[in-house]
Amino acid sequence: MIRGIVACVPKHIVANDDAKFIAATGVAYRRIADENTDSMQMGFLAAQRLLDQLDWDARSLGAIICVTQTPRARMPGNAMGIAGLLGATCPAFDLNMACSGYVYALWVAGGLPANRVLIIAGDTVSRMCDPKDAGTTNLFGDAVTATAIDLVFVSHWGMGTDGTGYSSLIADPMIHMNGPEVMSFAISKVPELVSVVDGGTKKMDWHLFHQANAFILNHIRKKCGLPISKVPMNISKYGNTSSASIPLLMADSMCTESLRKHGGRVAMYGFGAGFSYGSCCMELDPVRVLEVIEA
Amino acid sequence: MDKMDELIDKIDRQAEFLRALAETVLEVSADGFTVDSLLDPWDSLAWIATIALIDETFNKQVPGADLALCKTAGDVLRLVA
Repeated sequence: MIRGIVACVPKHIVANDDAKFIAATGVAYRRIADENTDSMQMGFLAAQRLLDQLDWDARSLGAIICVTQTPRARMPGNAMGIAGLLGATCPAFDLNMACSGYVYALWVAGGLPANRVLIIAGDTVSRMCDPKDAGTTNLFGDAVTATAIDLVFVSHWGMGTDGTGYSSLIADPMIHMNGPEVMSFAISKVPELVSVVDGGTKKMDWHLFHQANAFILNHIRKKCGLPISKVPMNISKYGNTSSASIPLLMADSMCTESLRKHGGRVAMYGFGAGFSYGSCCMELDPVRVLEVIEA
Repeated sequence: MDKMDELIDKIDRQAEFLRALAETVLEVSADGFTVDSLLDPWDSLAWIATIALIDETFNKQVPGADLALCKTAGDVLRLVA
């Protein structure tokens, strides 16, 4: 069960000025980390705030999982650094995953022999964007989130990989994205995931999609026949924030207040680099969704 | 649906596709837009929009690399034939 969420974003707001790009992607603004801010720092700030508000002692954590592709160092992972800063002594490890990573972290957490797990998901993706490549620089934003979970109970998992897309979205070291290939992958695979989750039942209160690109999301939503009122979006405000996008959506979108007050039946869909994908659905009690903080 | 109905349906969908390709993707008038019309501008944003349009109209997914090689509207239609 998800008990609480905090999202941390950089203070610096960048506005896109290419009207055609904004119309095509939906990204009007992004948060960009300055040179003194990194994913570990933002992850720690989010985690510390979350544990404080939940009144969870760091020493009560059973595991810390960091999902990031922009760790502070190549070795060790951000999870160990954040554990040290929090005063936690539990197992802590990183998952090297991008846009599908949040669902994968939930999946991994569900299999751990631990009651309380902290998932810290997000990146400073802007560091991997070539300023000369407007298609990626203007699309991606920086954010890191912390999610506190216990006793994961998920009624459905839909996990998989189409590794033929390995080179279609790759950072080596800067991001190269083949947008049309990503689009083809997303519109063929994600509707399958939605169909399995919601096919015929229409019981979900919220469908939370990785915020890849508004055009892709709107196409998927229409193709799946999902009402706009059940598909929150915030990509216009934050851009594509990789593995942070689903928890950031929970923290700042039209579903936030409802999650705080009522919880609800939630489906999540992550998809992206490596053509990795994952979906899950769960019924949530009211979630302590805290205000977005800035670093 | 008999073969004649299928043929009419196919022609209708192709005409609908050409009109949407012109007006929505390329942002040009659909008047006089034919299978021989050149695709311009034909950049990655146009390819993405066309992939969506093909999926919507024909319920087919085409590889971006194949789309990038198209020069005319007819080339795109041949991908989904």
